[in-house]
Amino acid sequence: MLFININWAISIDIEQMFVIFVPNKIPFMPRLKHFCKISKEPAFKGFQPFGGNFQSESPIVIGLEEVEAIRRCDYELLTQEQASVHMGVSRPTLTRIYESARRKVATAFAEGRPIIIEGGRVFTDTGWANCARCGCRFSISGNKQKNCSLCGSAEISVTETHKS
Amino acid sequence: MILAISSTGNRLHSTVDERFARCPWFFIYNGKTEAYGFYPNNLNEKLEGVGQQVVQFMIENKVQLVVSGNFGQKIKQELDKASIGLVIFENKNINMEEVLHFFQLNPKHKL
Repeated sequence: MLFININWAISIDIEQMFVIFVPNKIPFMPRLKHFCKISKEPAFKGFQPFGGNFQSESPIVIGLEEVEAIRRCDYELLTQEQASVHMGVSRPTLTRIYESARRKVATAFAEGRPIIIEGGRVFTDTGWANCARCGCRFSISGNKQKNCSLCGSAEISVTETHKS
Repeated sequence: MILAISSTGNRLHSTVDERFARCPWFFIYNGKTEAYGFYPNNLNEKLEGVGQQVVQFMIENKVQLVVSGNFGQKIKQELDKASIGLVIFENKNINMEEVLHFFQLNPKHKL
């Protein structure tokens, strides 16, 4: 008996010499998107146009990774190559995210629609450091922290920093 | 400052648990009053959403620093949002007393 696990499974029975085609019922699901690294979540939830009756317009939903891509490329004026390193994705992926973000912002500006910031596959960028006295690894929330958060020792070595 | 440690048992010589949300006991120590207690983790057998409920428990108890053997990606994000500091001990044999000793070395924790 031979089974080949492709779109169609073929089973060959040697004694009876029958070839049976069986549809493989395993669903093919698309690859999940990568998590992007963001420095912090924005303190606001979106933007609203003013000066007219825009309340009834359906809002445009923009993801957190798209906001981060615009911030890195257009506010910090990094190249797409540098921004992709900061966000932990490849350069073509960052270009796709940035392109999608720009189109959404342009649609909102042109049609006077509100923008809502939510969703996206992201994680926040926390730095890590090792302490020489207690031997632990601890998170540092900003670049200003100089002591171990457990024992308070100054003998720390930063292993992963905020890259901003 | 209030400290929480994931513990394998309910004694001071119990070791730090490698998991955070699914550990059997939480050891909570208040640096100001020097009071401490062991809290059983009733959520550790649930299938989903354990991390969020544990983080909620930490926020309710005003915990500012958590110690464990490791943290998952989801709970790390939740704790970062709640601005709770994370400490990882990769040495599996460290117990509650030793962690407490290091915690008490920092005079800022008594404020």
